[in-house]
Amino acid sequence: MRDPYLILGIGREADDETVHAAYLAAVKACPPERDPERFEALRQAYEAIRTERHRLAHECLDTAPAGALDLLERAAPVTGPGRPDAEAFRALLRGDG
Amino acid sequence: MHPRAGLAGTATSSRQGTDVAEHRGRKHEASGVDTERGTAAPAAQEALAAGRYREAIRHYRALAQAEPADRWAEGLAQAYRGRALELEAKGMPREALAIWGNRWRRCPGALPDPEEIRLLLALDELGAALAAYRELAAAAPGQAAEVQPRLAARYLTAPEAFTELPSDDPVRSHGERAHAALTAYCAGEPRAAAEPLRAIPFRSPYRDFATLLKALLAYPEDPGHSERLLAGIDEASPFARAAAAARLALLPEAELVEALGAVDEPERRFATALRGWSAERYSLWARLYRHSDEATALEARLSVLLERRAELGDRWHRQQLIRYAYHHLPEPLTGELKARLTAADRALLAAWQAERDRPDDPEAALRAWQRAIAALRAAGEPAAGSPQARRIAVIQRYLATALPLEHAGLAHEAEAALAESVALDPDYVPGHQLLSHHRRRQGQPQQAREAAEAALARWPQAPELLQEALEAAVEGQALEAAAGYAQRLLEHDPLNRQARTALYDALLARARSCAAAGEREAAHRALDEAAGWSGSGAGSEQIELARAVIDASHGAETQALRQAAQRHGDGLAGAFAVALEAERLGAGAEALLGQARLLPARARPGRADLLALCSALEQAAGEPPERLQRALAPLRRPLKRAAGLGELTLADYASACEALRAVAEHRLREAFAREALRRRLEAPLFILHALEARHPPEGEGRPTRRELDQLQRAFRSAQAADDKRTAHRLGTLLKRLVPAAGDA
Repeated sequence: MRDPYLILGIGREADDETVHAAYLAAVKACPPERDPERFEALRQAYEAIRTERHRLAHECLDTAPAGALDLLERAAPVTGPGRPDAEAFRALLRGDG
Repeated sequence: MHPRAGLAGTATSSRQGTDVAEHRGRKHEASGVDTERGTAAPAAQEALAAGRYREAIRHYRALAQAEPADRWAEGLAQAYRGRALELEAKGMPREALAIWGNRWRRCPGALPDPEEIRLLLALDELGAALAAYRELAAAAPGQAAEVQPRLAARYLTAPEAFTELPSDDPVRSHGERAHAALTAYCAGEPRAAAEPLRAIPFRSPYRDFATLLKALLAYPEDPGHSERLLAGIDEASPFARAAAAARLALLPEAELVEALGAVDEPERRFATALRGWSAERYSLWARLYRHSDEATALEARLSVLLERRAELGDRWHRQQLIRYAYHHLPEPLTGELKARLTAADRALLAAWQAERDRPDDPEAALRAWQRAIAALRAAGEPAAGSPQARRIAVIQRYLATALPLEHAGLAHEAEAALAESVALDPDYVPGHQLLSHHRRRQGQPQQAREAAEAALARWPQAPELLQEALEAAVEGQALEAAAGYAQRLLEHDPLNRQARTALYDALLARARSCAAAGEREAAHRALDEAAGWSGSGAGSEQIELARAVIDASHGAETQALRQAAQRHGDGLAGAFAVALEAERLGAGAEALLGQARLLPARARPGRADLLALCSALEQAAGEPPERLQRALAPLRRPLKRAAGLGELTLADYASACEALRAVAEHRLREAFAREALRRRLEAPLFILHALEARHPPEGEGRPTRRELDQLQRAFRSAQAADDKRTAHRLGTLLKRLVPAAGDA
């Protein structure tokens, strides 16, 4: 499983309330009928860290290493949506390879 | 090269010169062509119709040399067109362009083709494309419209190159608005972008562009709307590539990072720009995801982990380092890596490794974990309830519940771990519950109750603690205390059947124990109490049966006993219920059945009676085997008579055999199976029952060769009939019996 904190988009210091709120917001944005796989990942992430004891158990007992996406998210997180510049547009319209 | 290339701005130009790309043997062509007009014309038309364009070109050119060229120009132009498209489809665009050039030179009056203009644009021959477009637009505006969306896409990349188009040409006039919208969007001014977009009419070469930009303006607030808009852009549209890149940006991040590897750089840049990726993230993505195999991918992840300590955060970096070490790095860790870890990190890693590397040695894992706990305590004993104390408590609970300590004779270590988890994390109710449960499993109901009681002092209404205390009290025969816990549980949860059942079972057991000890009054009192918790008709019937058996065994009138037996099923089933209860209460079953005249007469029991008994036997299968044997002893004779009942079906025989198997009544089971085999010879299921009953696991008899042959046949027969369950059971029996046969 991927890092549950990154899946829910919260920091390591999150408390029960923050975890719960992040889970609800994520499920609202991505309900199970729209993307069951994503929902399942959210649910598993939530179950893994929903209480302080769960978080401690995850820290001490879960041996799964971070994947490439975890490293990417952690080292260079996205701050928000952006937009392509005119040159990016032109390259596509010109048919650049 | 196309002769129009480099002629931008020249609407007309000389159609002179020689063909290019008419490769491979002109001499051969000339000699091979039938120049007789009478046959050349049909041959040219036939080759054109059949798609043999090179041959068609040769014929038409030969005809054009002999007659006025314009007579054959149309056919020749079609043949050139076909050949150009053919070459392009083969991945030879430059050669195709040369053919279009030949068409232009050799076919006077032939208008530029939209496909030719499309190819010129694809090969970046913008000037030539515009020249051809102007010529086509002047002569055939309908055809020119086909190519306008492609010119529109190029207009947006270089509007200054289109100044020679008429100002009312839609590529130019709509293009100014589209370009303004694009510029505003890229400058981050969505409102300014929306306005010129609205001014673009529906029937415009920029229609797909307008759709695309609307989709981008809706992103990311309304991804569903964006997706619907993008789906409306046809794959053949010159804006399809940008639409596909925008669709990428709608993917979840986990899918996006994978999908990016399958597209070209411009799509990647476009999609990641939409997602707000920084240049740093983009280059990191390239480093982490662009690998041909898992080994290099792992190497990349590890190098990023090692290099990016600051960005990853020291704690996360260390947590991941030990996980990578656990899964991927050779042991021992190098000095540099080791230096990055704290003593607690290294001890945790060692505990994981001990558990993985020595799965059959729970003590080694336990000791490694204890060292990890010691490392966590190195800075001082944590205060109860502090995060560090809770961290240790989590590990302690894990040790007691996940490692097989009890099987390794380390139950006391599990007890110590759970006791310590309660001391370190006293606010955690399940921790108390685990401790009590562990003590019950160790046969220490009193200590278990103490643990539950200690927690109940703090959480008096916690149902899980009350249930735990109730079960500990029942196991410790503290039935009054158990009743108290049950009352407390039922106050908050009147439908708690688990509490009622636990108490009812305990009181019934006490009544039976008192009756067996000859304490009739005490037994009745326990039954009275049990009646209050029975909760169901079956429970009350059981109590009445026990009462009747106790009284009858003390010489009372047997009328009540017969009535109780009837409630459990007249005949064999009722008699069995009485016999079993008598054995539970320490009264002799056979004597009691005789005293109450419950043993069936010589007549054969009926089918319904037999099936009711089978059902009762299945339910009683959990009773101790000796007790079952004693209870069944008085019923063996009538049961044996029942085996010959003419009204029994094969399904009835199967039910009887299974019920008798459940209570290990081998002889009767074999008798029923043999009777069934008389009715259906060689039926695999009954051969199984007959031979398994004849040779039970605990028996010493050896199967004969004939029996083994019979089993083999039955096994094959069950397989052939696709009766998987019987085949499996026969196979298991064969495996058990064959070594014995080998000995024989």
